[in-house]
Amino acid sequence: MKHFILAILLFSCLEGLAQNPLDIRLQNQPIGKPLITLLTEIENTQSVRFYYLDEWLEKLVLTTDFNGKTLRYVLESIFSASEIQFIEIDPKTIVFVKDPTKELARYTFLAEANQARKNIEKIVVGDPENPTKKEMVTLRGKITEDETDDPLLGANILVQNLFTGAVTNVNGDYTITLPKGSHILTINYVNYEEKVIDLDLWNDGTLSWQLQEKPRLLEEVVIEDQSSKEVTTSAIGLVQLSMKNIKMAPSFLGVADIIKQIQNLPGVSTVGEAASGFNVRGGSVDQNLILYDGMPVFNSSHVFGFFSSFNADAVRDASFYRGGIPARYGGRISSVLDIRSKEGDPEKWNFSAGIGLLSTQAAADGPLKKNKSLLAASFRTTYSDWLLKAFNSNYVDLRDAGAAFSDGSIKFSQIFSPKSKLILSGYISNDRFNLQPDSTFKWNTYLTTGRYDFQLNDQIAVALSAGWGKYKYNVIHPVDITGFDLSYELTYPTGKAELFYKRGRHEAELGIQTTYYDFEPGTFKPNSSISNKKNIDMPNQYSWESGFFIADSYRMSDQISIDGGLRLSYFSRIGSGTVYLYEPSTSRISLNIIDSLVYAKGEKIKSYVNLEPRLGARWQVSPTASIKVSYNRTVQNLHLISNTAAVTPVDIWQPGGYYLKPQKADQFSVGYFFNFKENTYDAFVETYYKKIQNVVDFRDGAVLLLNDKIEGELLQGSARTYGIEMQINKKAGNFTGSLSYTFSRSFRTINGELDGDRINNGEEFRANFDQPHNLNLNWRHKLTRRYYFTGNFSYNTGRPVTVPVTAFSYENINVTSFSKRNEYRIPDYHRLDLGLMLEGNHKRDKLFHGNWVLSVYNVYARKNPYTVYFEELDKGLLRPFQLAIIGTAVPSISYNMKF
Amino acid sequence: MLKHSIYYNLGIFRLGLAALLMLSISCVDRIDFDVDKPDKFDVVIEGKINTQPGPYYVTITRAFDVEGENILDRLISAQEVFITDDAGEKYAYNEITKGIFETEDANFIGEVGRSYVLTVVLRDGRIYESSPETINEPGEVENINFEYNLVTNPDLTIKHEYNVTFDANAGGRTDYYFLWKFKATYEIKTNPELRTVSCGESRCPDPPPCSGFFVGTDGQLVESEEPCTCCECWVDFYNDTPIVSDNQLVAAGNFVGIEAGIVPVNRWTFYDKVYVEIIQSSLTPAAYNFWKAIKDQKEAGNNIFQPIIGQVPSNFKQIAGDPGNVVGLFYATAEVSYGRYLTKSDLPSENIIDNSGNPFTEDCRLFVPAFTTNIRPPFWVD
Repeated sequence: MKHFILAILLFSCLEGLAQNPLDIRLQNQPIGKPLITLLTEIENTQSVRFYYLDEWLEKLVLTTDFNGKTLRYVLESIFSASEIQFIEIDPKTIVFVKDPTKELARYTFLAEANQARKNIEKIVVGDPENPTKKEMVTLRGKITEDETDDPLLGANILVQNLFTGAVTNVNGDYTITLPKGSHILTINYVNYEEKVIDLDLWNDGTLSWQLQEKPRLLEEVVIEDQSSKEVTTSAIGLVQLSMKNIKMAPSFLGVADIIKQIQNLPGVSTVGEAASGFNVRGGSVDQNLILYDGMPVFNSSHVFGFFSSFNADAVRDASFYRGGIPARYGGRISSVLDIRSKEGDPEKWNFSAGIGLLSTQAAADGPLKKNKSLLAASFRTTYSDWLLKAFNSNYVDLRDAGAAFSDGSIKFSQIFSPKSKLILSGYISNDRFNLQPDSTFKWNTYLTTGRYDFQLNDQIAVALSAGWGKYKYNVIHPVDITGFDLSYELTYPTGKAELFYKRGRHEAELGIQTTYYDFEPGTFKPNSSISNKKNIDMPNQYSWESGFFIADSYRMSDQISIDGGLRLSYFSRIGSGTVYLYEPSTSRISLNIIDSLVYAKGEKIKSYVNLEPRLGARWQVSPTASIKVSYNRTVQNLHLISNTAAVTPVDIWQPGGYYLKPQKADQFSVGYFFNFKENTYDAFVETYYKKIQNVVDFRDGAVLLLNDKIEGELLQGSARTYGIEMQINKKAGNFTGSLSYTFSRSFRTINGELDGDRINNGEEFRANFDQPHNLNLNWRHKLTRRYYFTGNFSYNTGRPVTVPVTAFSYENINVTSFSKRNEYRIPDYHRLDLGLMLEGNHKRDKLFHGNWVLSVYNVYARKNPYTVYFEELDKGLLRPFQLAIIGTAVPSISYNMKF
Repeated sequence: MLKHSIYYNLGIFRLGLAALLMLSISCVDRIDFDVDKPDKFDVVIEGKINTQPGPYYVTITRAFDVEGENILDRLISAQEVFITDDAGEKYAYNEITKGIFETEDANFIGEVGRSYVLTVVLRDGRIYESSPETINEPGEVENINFEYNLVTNPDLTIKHEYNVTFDANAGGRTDYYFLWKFKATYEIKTNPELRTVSCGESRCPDPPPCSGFFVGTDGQLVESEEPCTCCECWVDFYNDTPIVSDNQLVAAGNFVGIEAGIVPVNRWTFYDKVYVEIIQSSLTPAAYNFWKAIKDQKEAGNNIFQPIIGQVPSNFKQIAGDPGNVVGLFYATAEVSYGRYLTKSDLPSENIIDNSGNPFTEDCRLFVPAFTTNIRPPFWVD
């Protein structure tokens, strides 16, 4: 059979230049039409002959609307679930053959791979003389990076002859169940050389591979949205980010920034230029769970949001979930950004260093003991005061401000055996910002984690981890009559145990996680004897947050897979503490306190138990298209309490409790993902609807800081968001890029029982981050072999804002009247960035590879607002002003060298 | 070996030469929103009673354009304005001029512990009614303190000033809802007799009649028999930001070192001395929320993090007529005050006063119009 097929292939190659009848496009063909009828009609109108046995095709019909599609596409689609293949003998002769083991497809692919000069490896797993008696065998393995041995998250393993595949997890592991026999596997990862494996699989076994980076350093400039290209996985709303790609994208002052790149994704927005954090599908900034090596990060910004606190040189990869959040994640309701730092190279030491106008950094990683004890460390610090001095701002305080930040990361790995590994990591981030001669703000994050992974057998693996985190800030006012020190601190030790189980078509996960939160909500004290400030020491607030989760990824068939999960979350606010009781049906103000409940240390004050089902499913409707649906319930018990549109470092995180109920979100999403033009393009359309209960808002003029009766200032209500996201990527050719558009809305309703417990009279109003239209375009155009022209264009509708509308005078004081909450909008946001990349030559054995990157951020100098604030002018009235932090074009040039 | 050494020195060197030309990148601009037209503006009601003898006043106006335009002719006439107390007694107001109302009964005085409701009936049939306002004990202002400061301006010039702080107590109250107002008064002496007007290429005397001088037939200045009535005035100035209590400033019912305002040191304020007065008013929660919102609004200006400033809460509700928004406050309060002089002898040196500059050659009442009077305040002592 093999020789027959090879002969046919050889013959077809010789005739390959003739006109191809398979390019005929179907017109006016109804669904359900028998395939034989169609082929007969084509034979009657075209000079082409089809050779087949009637019994092979007599049950096959046009299963969908194929009008406008080529005959090749139609046949591939109809035959994908059958044993039948077709061979193009010459332009006038198409032969149908029965190919139950898909050998024809396999050999076709091999022939094409040879023609493309791809490196094909022949691998045999198991003994062909003594194969297993099972029909289906399981193949496992790990895909890693060639140089650093880092596992590659999201690498695709595609079985070309079966149109199926698998994707590696965060550890680079994959599992796939295949029929015994011969297969062609391709292993792909962005920016890495594709690997083609001619596999003979006779028993269960392992196949691990190291992928080699493509020699061209500037291969990609955009973030790859895996959800748009992975028609074969059920992950929906997942974006896997490669730091290598992020570093190559045009950026402000050439500083690679993971958060800024996330803001360019469909469904993600920000409240303003250089604003801290990001908003996902109409959610607030605090609804995003940001994890660094598994530990939550409560402030991800340097310099209030100019830059993120993650050094690109220290990060290995990141997974971003805007929907379809797996059950192992909990505690936030909108999205998850899971960042993993680099591990040390097991073979050799690597060093890197960088000096820029804004910051300087150094990193090293390598083996303390080869293949056993590995270390990776990085440090970054800044001298950014000059940046603020450069602000030609009317806002004097900002012009006279000072800022500095630093961050560091260290990771130690001890490999005990191929099946067990211990990882210890630490992270620190420091910021200082002062408004001369006003207050100095300082905020710090400290994280440490330990994780022990071991594999019990081929099917079961266990991961145990423990961590400790601290987030704190201080506000220090100069020593004078108003001098004070304000401090806030949050400490959170955490522990987690996970068990992974893989068997057959199931990939299950079971785990438990618990975190203890110790909030010091505020210590306020005078900093000199002349200060008029009083000591205020807010009592600590304690709570436990735990989650038990179970999940299973079940591949029902080659076409259908289901990811199901359930998380049982438990949150308990515990003593010591005092709860004030208020007169029923009155506002929660001091005057209405009728009693108080005093709780001893450790005593339960209030607890909440919630079930969080997570469900995702994928139906692969054709080899190039799939439909994915997901439903998530997520619960959030910690809330960022802020009454500013922009996140500030002095916003406080508040645990739920007696009055503050958990936020609950239910999100439904459905998407259609497809590839076309032979995978040159991929695209998706995804729509979602999210309903949130107990969303947290605040009264007008709320006092949030140092308020031991903060329940009186907070209001809870409901929110709803909905939207449609679409993206198209061109992945091959001299011109590559992506275009995405999102339409989304986000509304809130705060309608309490009492007058004072309502916002906008209880009517639905636009959330701060309701930005209906969002458009992103980025591209890379290969001008010559070594020159690339890159760019990015972003557009957002301006966000809602509350503005002064009228004024009145009371006792000779002029007072400004504001509009209803978020009644108006700031101007739309749009920005164009351009870059030119000039590479050195691509010789592999060159001592070093270098490239120049010239870029201009905000090319046409759009003054996009960082914030709209209010300044008191004449007559004591407030007028709105917009502060554009980056109000001009910012050119930069950088040189990267790898040796 | 060469390969070995290369791999052991594998590294990445990154050099950023960003933005050499970036001299200024941020900017602040006014931003305009298409807001409502003036004919939709709110009704504003301002009313207060206290424990001092009346009459008490109510002013009804219309809100104005935030740009400060249409600020005149805002007074609104009303059909009826009256107060009802918790005993059911009704006290009427008379409209003494358009939009300004005065209590009719001269014997009506607010009493501590009593509650009052203000009702306003507009001529178009709209009726607004306040929530009940109860007069609480006022506490006491105990002391006023002055602290001298030498301040360097952004243009590197210097100025001298006094920070004014005060101490107060809640008088046994535990809810700490208080409002303080800072008022300072200083005396000025001007030279209206030196006023001139252009006459040809020179200037000729033109003293106002109140100056005690007139221009004789020969064109010369002549002293009249009438004394000057606009050469000596008293100027009031206030802190535009209301001072309200907060939990950072109170310990066991005592407020110590509360910042009240600033007294600038110059040849006008320290012509003789400055009288500084702190007025402490007891508030209800509703009135406190109103003043607190104004204070927050005043302080929120210039905050780049864009605090979401809400509407200033009114304690009025509309109970009849076509819908129309109302803002403002009626509050009932007990007030106490405390005053203290700040004199030249308190200055570190009299030389810090810059006495250069021309005399003020106008009617002294025009020095700061609306805040200057030639009527000697009762508290003023020589």
